[in-house]
Amino acid sequence: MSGICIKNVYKSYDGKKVLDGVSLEIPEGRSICLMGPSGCGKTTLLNVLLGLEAADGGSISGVPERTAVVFQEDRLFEDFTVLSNVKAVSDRETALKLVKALGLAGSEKKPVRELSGGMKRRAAIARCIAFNGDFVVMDEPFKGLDEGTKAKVLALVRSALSGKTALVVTHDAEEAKALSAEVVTMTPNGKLL
Amino acid sequence: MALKKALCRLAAVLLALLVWQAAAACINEEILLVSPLRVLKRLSELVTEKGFFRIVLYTLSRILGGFAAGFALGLALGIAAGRFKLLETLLWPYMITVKSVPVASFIVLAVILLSSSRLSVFISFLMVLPIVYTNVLTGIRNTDKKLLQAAKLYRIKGAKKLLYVHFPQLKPYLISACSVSIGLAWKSGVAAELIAIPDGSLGEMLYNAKVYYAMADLFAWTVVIVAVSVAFEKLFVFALKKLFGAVEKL
Repeated sequence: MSGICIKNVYKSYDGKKVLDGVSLEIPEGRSICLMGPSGCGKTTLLNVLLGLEAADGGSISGVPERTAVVFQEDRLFEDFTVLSNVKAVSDRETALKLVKALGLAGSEKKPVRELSGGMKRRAAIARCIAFNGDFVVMDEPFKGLDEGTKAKVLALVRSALSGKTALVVTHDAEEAKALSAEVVTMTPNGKLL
Repeated sequence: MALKKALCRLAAVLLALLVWQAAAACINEEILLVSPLRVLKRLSELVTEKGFFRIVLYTLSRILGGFAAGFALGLALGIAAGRFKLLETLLWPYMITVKSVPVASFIVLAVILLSSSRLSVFISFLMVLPIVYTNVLTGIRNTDKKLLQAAKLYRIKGAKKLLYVHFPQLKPYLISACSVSIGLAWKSGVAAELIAIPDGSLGEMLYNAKVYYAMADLFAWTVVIVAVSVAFEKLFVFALKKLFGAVEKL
């Protein structure tokens, strides 16, 4: 795999341009942090990249088949336990190890719907890492985490992303720095700087 | 709050019984309206009679059989039709026919084709099938698209997808289908027995009560039917919820 290439991608909703000729290359084994103000089209770009939404124009190539995602809204299986959610994409041993590493030990048998927002976020990160995808996409993965927890989770994510192709959306430059990722900024009119 | 609600309901039931007792006392003709006390007395006699439980068990086993078959087939067809649109289209005329044709028409038709002991099984099955099928299909169709996308990206397929994505979404639809269809299975199943009159069934008991104008018997057997039907419904829904709970803890 030689990396992911997004070329001149356009996307509009009701005539309003959300992505305006976005081009981006994510070299294999490198992490990129996508920053920009709320509503500038970061999540739309991820959705188009993941094939969840069709672009109006442009092309995307090189996206590996095994892609692990932390969605903006978690998208966990709420009625199932934390462990079940992680086990759904990996073996039990890996799932247990990650649940523990993310500070969810003791809550692994709780249904996800009973968890706090921050715990759900960590469960989503655990599932993403456990899947061991060739490409990792994270949409504001540290949202809702307190500072102490965030530092631990950041360290874990950094180590998990090491050598992987990844695209991480964040609003925080410190997070990008902690992930040692190249920063790409999106403007409010849907262009990349 | 729950206790208050239960007490309010109990008070309403007691009031209804008082109204019934008062109406029976006013009419003072057992053949027109038997009193609740007389029904209670007759019920206590029936329960101690030899063969009471055999009669209840006879009808219960048949309605249970019809319900189980309708539930299983409705579930399987609902899942399959949710996956294949063509199957939904092909099944549509059958389901709409079963739903709209009066149960009496089916009973009259089936009584010619089936033995009296099998009629209630078939009729219960027929009443349960479209309800479970429709609810399951609606549950599958209303599956959260975002969870489906997550499952696709995480390569969660087949039985695993059914378990993690569809199963929780189906839960309220299945519970609602069971609550509705169990009562209907009993009503239609006993109606079928009333027409086919299989020996030693609840339907036969109702028929005899009608023939001999034994109103206390008619009401007492009706109380038995309602009690067994409600108990069966509560037990089944409880077991279903437990099953869902156990699966979610896997």
